[in-house]
Amino acid sequence: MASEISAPATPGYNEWTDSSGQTRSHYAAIANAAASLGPAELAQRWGRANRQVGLDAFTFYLDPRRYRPAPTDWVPRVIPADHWEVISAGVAQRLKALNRFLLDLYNGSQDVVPDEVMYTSYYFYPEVQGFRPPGDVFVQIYGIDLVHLGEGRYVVLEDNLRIPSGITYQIKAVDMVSSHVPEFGADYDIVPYDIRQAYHDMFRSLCGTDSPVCVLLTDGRFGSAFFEHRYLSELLSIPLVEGADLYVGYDGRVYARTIEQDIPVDLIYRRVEDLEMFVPNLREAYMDNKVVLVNGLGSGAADDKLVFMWVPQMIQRYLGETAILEQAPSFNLSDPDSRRHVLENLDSLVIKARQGYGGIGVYVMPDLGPGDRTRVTHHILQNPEAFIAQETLDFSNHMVFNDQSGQLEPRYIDLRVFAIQDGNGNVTVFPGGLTRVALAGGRITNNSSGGLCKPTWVVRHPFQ
Amino acid sequence: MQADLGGPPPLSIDPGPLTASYMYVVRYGYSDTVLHNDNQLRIFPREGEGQTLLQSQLWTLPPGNGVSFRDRFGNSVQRYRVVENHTSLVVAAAGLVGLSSGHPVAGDVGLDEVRDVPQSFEFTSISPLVDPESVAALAAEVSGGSDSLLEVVRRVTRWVHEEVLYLRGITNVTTTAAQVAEVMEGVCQDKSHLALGMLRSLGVPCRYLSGLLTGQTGETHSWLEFLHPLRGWLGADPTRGVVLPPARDYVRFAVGRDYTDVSPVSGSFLSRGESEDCATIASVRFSSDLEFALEDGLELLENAYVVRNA
Repeated sequence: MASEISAPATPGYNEWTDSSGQTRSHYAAIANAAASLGPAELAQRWGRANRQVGLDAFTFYLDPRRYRPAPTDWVPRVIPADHWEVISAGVAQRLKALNRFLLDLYNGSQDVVPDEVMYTSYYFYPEVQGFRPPGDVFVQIYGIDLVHLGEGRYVVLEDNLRIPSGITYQIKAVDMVSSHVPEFGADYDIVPYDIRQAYHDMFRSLCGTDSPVCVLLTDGRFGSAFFEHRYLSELLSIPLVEGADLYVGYDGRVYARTIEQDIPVDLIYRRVEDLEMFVPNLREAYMDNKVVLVNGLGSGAADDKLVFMWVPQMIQRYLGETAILEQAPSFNLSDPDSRRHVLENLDSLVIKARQGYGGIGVYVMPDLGPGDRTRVTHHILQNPEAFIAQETLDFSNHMVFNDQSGQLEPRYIDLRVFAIQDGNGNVTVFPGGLTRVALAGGRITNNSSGGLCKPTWVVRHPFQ
Repeated sequence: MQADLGGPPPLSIDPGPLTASYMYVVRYGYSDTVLHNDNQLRIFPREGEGQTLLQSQLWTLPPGNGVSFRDRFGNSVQRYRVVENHTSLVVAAAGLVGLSSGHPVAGDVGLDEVRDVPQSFEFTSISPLVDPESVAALAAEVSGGSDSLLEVVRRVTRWVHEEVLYLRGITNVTTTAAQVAEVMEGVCQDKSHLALGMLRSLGVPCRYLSGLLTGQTGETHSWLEFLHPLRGWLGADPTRGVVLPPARDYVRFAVGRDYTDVSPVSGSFLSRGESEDCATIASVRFSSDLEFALEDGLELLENAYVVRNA
């Protein structure tokens, strides 16, 4: 039976197979389970799981007018525990340094990042200057995008400090695979985690009370990640509100309207960027410490793709440590010498719009034709400050099961890991993460660009 | 020796720096409430190159929040962000500068001496409003095949001065050098863009200047500077038809590749309405005191406030 599900060898590092085409030892149990189920049964399971995705409104909208279940491949990704130790330490280190940087940016005189870069960042808010959030924490929820170059070498591509989404896709994908293809996980010791408890502890420490009133502020049911907002609100037992449900009272506190009475709110887990447009005076309430915002106002300044270049220096400056995780080598195009270098070596680079998100405004030059090349060259020459260049990394592939052909097919994957920081500065990194799978032939894995999700496990003893 | 230097003769006695008092006020009116307004201001005198900053002040209404920094061209910039509701925005800058009173002097050199210098990449490449290739044929014709720097700058500056009709309302802040070459009409900004494009196509590194013309009341002015291998950046003003103007003619605010790099106020606002009107007042007077700045600026601010509350 095993021969019926073939796994072709691929260029670059494949996490599933080694260079000789053999299934790696920590995937043997999944491969065996897949082989004994057989392609027909697997295709049926895939169909059932995908129907469930639709029924559960497990969605990620690209276009608010079209219902779109989040496409998921159910072949799990296994991260060995020794890899995870490094990832987890590196993510925690990065989150602490970024937070310290933001505190210094708004309250001190940071000199790690050039002023021109910092103050031209769209998400740098001058009005936040002089403000210290509770516990000095600007970034409570952090999402970091990593790629795996092979043999445990993980490299950072991006930091997401504003309103990172995906943690519930991580949870949901793992839940779904354990209920629809339980055979896959039967022989693995998967590291568990409790998001509900961790978030509640974080909320309490930020508010300084045992039972704070918390709400989740959504951009509404047509927002791309509305599934996540709804799921989190249920998981955390906190009301889901839109801007119109909140107002700032005469006492300067924030209130949530309910049928019975208006309830004072201690903490807003916000999933919208431009708060003051939806809730008048919310900024004042926040800056008077009448309400806690998760994440803090102005945290996006360190989410800028150009500011990314200086994170290793932030780690050095604020923690006195060397960065644990490598990051993609990047170029500041405002500097004429770097710009010239980038234009001369364009074919090996990725060009990203500085304020882009979700894979929008990303040009992977090796994958583009000459027409696009001319267009990107003009963009760079005309508006160098609007872009950043990064070296193209040959990152890892994984297998997705094609339920039409019954074959496994290689695709590029990345990993978004989530971490939280509580009011005492303690960081929790949730084991695993959301593995995002690029479309066939592409390298852009963002869900906003149509990528797939994949369940991801951190496994204690993967080598049975 | 002087014949070798070319250009206007140097003053035999430099009477020392002159002091000028300047003011620049702009008011934007909007057709509906603006929720937030985020801008970069480049209305502060640059230090150096014949200009000393003695005093500089800024008023804004609504007050908003700001930070200042230097951009990659060395311009002094203020990020100014307003997050309270407003229907008009007023920005007023005033101050005192010391201006060198001498005349710049430079000898002519071959064009090949400024080709492929380190500044070439930044200041001869395509920029948002100036594509040198689009006016290369025109530049070749006007330069008449001359291969000396000052001669080429003179020919281009004078040609643009004489042939492009100064006319308001034809062009706007997004008009490109190629479009100016087509309509042959425009304001100082358009003349500068066309001359920059022509000079760049000939390999001359040159940059766009934004500032005020001394002795003139009205709006901001724009001209250009080209790179001389021995003398550094030297001025040329296609609107006035002057090459190597003295430093005392201008208060220099910002330099860049074209208008998009140096726009006095650039940014975005969020509103259901539109930007309805924009009024600018600028003035420079030779004086060692801050002459009109305070009262004029404040008066404008007050007027704006009355409008806001009407």
